[in-house]
Amino acid sequence: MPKNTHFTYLACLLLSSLGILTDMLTLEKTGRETEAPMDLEESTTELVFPMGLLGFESNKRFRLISPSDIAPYQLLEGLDGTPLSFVVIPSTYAATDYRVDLSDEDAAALGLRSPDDAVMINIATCRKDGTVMVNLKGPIVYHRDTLIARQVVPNNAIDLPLTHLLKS
Amino acid sequence: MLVLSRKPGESIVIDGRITVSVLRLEGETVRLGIEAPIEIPIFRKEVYEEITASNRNAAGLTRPGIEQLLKQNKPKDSHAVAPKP
Repeated sequence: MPKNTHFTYLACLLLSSLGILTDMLTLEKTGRETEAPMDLEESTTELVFPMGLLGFESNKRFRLISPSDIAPYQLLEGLDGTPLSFVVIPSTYAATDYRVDLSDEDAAALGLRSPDDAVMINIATCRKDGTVMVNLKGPIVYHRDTLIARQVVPNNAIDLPLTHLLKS
Repeated sequence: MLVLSRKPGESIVIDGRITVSVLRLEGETVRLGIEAPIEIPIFRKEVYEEITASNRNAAGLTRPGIEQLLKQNKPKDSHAVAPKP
């Protein structure tokens, strides 16, 4: 088999399998990554956003902190330049029936080969009255092993709210 | 702003690695095809702007402030899809 043909076949196979698995992405998220370790005050993971966050493109490195006292909320703190921090929440807590159709380009850029590779979180906004709004339109997805992250605009973004009231 | 006229089937090349093609015209809608390296994110501008604004609005609380607010407002349960055993 000529080399080019073989490569094309593999690429097609990969894209079609990603198409299937990305449809299942949210269904597969059942809270596994949200369990805070019981013996630690807080756990920290360093994420790399090669493209930054939208509007903060020069901020590439973040620290995802999971303090047990505010679980399931987590803090996403920038490690580049001026101080930058966000409150985030695992998508399993963000909304019911929250499904994200990840584009093939995003799945490939993140190197996702299986739904279990992906962890999805959402940025929260705290209002002065104590309510919390969650951005469902632009979730953050990262690879569990490589810790490469991207804020994505899913294929079904038009159906997802930018501000979703979190029920407490 | 650089302004170029293109017909359906014609393209422009940006930086030697991004190609934007005019695919067809449908009334007032222009269908564009964009080929770019996978590391270059591409967004509809209005979506990019609303998420950017949302991010800016969400950024910047100090950690003690965040923690105080969030202790008062915790979701009770994960919306897990799988039924509990």
